[in-house]
Amino acid sequence: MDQILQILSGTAVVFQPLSLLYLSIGFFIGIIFGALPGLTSMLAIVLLLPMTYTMPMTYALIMCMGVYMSGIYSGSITAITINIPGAPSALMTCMEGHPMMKKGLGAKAIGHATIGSAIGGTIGALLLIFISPLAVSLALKIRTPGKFSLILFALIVIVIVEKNRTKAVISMAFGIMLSTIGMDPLKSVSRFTFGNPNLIEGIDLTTLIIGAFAISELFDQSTVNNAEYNKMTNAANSMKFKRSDFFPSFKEMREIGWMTYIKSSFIGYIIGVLPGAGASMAAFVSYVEAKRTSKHPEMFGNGAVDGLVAAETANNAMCGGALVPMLSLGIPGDGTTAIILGVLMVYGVVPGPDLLVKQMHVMAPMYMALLISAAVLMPLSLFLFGPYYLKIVKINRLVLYSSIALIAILGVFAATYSTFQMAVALIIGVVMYFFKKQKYPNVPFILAVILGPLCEQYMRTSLTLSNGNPMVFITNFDSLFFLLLTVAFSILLPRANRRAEALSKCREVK
Amino acid sequence: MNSRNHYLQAKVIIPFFMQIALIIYVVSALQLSSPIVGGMLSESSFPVIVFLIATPAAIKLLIDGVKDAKKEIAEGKDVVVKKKSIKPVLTVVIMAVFIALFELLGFSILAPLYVFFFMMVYDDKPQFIVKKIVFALLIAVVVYVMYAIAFDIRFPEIWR
Repeated sequence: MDQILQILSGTAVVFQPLSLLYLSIGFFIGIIFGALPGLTSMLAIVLLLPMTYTMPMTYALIMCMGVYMSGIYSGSITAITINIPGAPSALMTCMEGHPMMKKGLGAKAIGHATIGSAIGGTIGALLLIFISPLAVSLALKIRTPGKFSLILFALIVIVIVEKNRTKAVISMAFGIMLSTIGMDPLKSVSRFTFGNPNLIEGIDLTTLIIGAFAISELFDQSTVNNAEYNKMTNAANSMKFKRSDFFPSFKEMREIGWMTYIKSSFIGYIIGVLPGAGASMAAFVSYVEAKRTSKHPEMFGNGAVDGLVAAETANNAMCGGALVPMLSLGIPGDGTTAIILGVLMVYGVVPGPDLLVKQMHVMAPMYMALLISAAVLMPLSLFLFGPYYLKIVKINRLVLYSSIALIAILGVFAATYSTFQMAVALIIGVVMYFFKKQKYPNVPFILAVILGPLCEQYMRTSLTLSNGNPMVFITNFDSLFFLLLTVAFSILLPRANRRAEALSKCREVK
Repeated sequence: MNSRNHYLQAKVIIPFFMQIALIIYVVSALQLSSPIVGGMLSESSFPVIVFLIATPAAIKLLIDGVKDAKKEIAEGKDVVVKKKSIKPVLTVVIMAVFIALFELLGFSILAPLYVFFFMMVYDDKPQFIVKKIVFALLIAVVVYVMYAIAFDIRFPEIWR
């Protein structure tokens, strides 16, 4: 109860003028990055990462929350208008939103997506506020062997949820290999430096993140035909909607059913808690569930508004869910929360169960910022800026990407003051570009970069404390619990994945 | 059609190089110490575990890639050589030159040039040169204000 009150007291901090300014900046950066095809909210936070070095941590986290919530939502704008998801999580929105657009109901589809996102985001944030203190009190009981088993659980689940698990293992191994360069965490020995003194301190987290996510994306985007992109976005530019077009009627919302909003929120939240699952999976599962229970499943794929609402509600509810394991256990729920964890690490915060106990005064405004970002989605998008969101794609692509290129490369310098680290970021960017081309997932990479060193540290410390006896992982109840959970997930998740795929194929055939 | 091209596809090359990297990784770890010293895990233990987990995955991907290549050869399929864009390579070159000269020439000279060449590469053809120069200067100024003034980060300059 004390912790819930502490979280609620964060409201006072969020409503300070400077906090609101950072939240607004984050919110609109998120909207822009989410709405533009090729850019994501994760990339926005990656680019903001080096700038947070000189900012108080509370403001940095508040800004990240604004980016996170609005970036997930705004992926729906281009998904609906030009059939290209602004963010990967808006893929299911394309399937229903664009057919609605073709029927002349584009503004209404955006309105439904906004309401769904606001409801999902708010429920997700509220669940986060009320459940994470409980998770923290449980997390504090976890001792070192349990922490190792927990990270092992997270790393295994991250691989299992990926479509191509073999490639996920390689991506993860690459992340761990890079994160082990430098000083050994327990002994004063340097590893994998190959005689290069620049590597003794290891590769900076900012270098790894900017290289893997920003620089690789720049290489990928360089192949996009500018004329074709402009032609495609001109279609969205030419649309003219009145504010009133965005408002769905209560009758329409009643037809969708309140249960769809609530159920999708819970689905999104629960999937968010699962390490590595992310917004795309939340939207997919929620969409499949909406289709299964819909009175008009034949409408799906032709502009079913309940499908669109289910996907959009779930992917925003996921934000609150993904922050639960990150804040209470130090395990990021998706790629974006992994980068937010990186922001915390920049400030010297060690992720783990102690985080909320020791730093609650700093973290509390972050909860409220997430809640406010979700709550203001509806008034800001429907009453004020909705028609302008459609113009975001008008931003000159050349100016945008060349600015990102400069911010990204200078960001590495700002974080490290080293041209060597800039070169390392470039090399990592090249490798990750090839990985991306061959569909190697990047979420296992970033989670491995963050969790790999902790995994090693807890494993070796546990075994040192037990005089090298590996039974320590079985005899400790918390550790045994996570090991059993790992086994259960290893069996159940692939089955659930297969069943969901079969169900979706079966419906498509029908 | 030379069958060598079939084996030089990314689906074969990436796991191959990953396996080489894993071998270098584990060898340099084992050069530090044995994985277990006096019954305790040493600094090389974790890299050895990573090697043991990732190697089967790399080998599986390599075998799958080689099998696919062999199948393509048996079926007489030509490797579909798409007209590959040179733009990613040019982007890498621009970044590499920027990094190499950054400490020597500094922000004020390099940043506008970097942005200008980036825009040139991103565009379909060399056009609107004056507009690009103006944008390059503006972007450099905005980014400088953001980093140097708002966040107090000092970049190298030719005069210091």
